[in-house]
Amino acid sequence: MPDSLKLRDYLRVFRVMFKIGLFTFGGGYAMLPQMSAEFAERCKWLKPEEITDIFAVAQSLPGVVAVNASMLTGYRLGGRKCAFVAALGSTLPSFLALIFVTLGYQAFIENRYIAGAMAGVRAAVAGTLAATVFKLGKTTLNDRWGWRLFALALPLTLLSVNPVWIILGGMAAGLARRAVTKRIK
Amino acid sequence: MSVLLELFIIFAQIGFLTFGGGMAMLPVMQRILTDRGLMTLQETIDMVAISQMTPGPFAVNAATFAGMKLAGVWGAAAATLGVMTPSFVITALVSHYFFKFKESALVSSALSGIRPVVPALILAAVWGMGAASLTDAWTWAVALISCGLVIKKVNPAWVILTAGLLGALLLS
Repeated sequence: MPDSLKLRDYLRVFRVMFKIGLFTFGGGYAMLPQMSAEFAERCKWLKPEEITDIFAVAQSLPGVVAVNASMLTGYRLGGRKCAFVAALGSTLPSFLALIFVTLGYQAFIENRYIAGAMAGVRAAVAGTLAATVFKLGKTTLNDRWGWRLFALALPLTLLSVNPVWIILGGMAAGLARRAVTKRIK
Repeated sequence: MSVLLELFIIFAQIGFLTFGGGMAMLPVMQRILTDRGLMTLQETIDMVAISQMTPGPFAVNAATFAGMKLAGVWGAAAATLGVMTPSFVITALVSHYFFKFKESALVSSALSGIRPVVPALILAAVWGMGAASLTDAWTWAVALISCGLVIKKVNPAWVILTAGLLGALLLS
């Protein structure tokens, strides 16, 4: 992305984020497969590990994780104004969908086609997210240190320890390792 | 005006407290809305169902639903902006420093510890989603095929859209 954004660049960020918002069912991590496909694979605006960083920070801050992640992505791509453009882009589809659905929501809840569609969508979201862990893992789990931390964190997350503590734990481990290697030198 | 302001403030609180996922906020959100007499318990149950059936983060969807129901389109706008405002303010402050110091020795060594634990967090989210949604051979097949397609770099948006259409035809 260029340093000074033109209107065309903002529109492009808005359009990509709008598409991501439209096909994200479930907040937070459900966005990841599309973020990684659009920004790391298709336009190569971000490196895979940058997406990992963005989600780690988004998850550690108060606020809605998906909005935090959109803001951070936008900021990384083009500064503060771009952050708002990205956040509005990713949330506008849900806003518009909810406005219409709320008008006749009883029929929506009871509609059997929508229930069937949601069963398919939920299964697909789990599958696409599994693929994304695989991809992001390839860039971050490339040495013994990484695998050890991963192996420590996994049982804790499955025991539903708050993700914020796990991220802070990883941070402490990274800082401790630096302190130790510095002292040895 | 006062309804709009009330919606904005309530949902700004909810947005601020959404630490570690919107679903964790659900009981608090339900209590605030019912205690203030803004919604009945049944309406909050519908709100949850709708928020899960529509695209987008749970907290944002719930805010739009509640705002729309209580004060129409302007109410929806007030509640949705409210729920997003804490994220706006906090990330606008943090992102400046984060990206500025990302390359510094201290932050990059912190990141070297954070990066490997993120896949574990996502894997746990996959586990939770799988336990709730993979109930038969059909849904397992959808999940496995989706996973394979995304590894082969098919755009996840198309995968999700196709799975939704197939579900509407075959699972209804």
